[in-house]
Amino acid sequence: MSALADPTRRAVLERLGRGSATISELAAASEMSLTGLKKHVGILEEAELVRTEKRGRTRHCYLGPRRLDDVTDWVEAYRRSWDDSFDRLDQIIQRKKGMSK
Amino acid sequence: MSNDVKNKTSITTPSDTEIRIEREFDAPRSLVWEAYIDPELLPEWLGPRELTMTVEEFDVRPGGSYRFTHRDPDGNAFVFFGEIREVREPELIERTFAWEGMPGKQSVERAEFEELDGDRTRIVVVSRFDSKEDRDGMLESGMDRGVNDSYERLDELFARQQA
Repeated sequence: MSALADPTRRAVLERLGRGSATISELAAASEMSLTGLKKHVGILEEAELVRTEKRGRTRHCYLGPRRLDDVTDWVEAYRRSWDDSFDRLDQIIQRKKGMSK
Repeated sequence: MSNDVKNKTSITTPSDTEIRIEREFDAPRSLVWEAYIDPELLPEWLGPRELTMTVEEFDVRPGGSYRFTHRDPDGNAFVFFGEIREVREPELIERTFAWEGMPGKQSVERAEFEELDGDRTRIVVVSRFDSKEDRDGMLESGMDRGVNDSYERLDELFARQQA
């Protein structure tokens, strides 16, 4: 399975798409230990998908400079997958239509 | 497409817990309906192209159940199942939709077939989820090629970074 098929990392990106969050907020949201979550954030940070900033004792996370719109845009991805299926259904329907003429 | 202009699939989110898909077809409603519910045709069109689909069961009547398996080239299986709740041929079919990968989560998918002028038909599919989290989670379930493509690109990036 691919690295970003990891549900935690996807959830982190999606959560940050709605606004910044601290490591502990992200950990709580994904029901994960701080250490485990930090590891995921580290990987996303290396890929520049996430950036972090230490303020006092807490680390704040934001979406990074690298944006893959389609990673966060589930709605468009979902539309494309239906569009693809409907294209094939359309071909079947046109075939049936041709036969019934 | 070999024939004229391709029809567009549009998507809206009428509420936080719903997704609505719409698409027109240049064919009369009875024909669109027959193609949509034919279990033998389903593997030819439903779901991501690179997955092989098997229809284990598809009993189109109220209370009937269905079960589909999609397999990727590595042999991983994704099983979808549910119950047909309402059928009004040739205008409506409503069913529950669940994925084995997300136990306990289910949505209700209502497909309506509208007759349009000029022997055209519009399919409107509204999926309703228990919560916004469920909706977004099920969309993320990895069935989307667009999303997977992005993951693959990121994967390559991660692989380069770790090398």
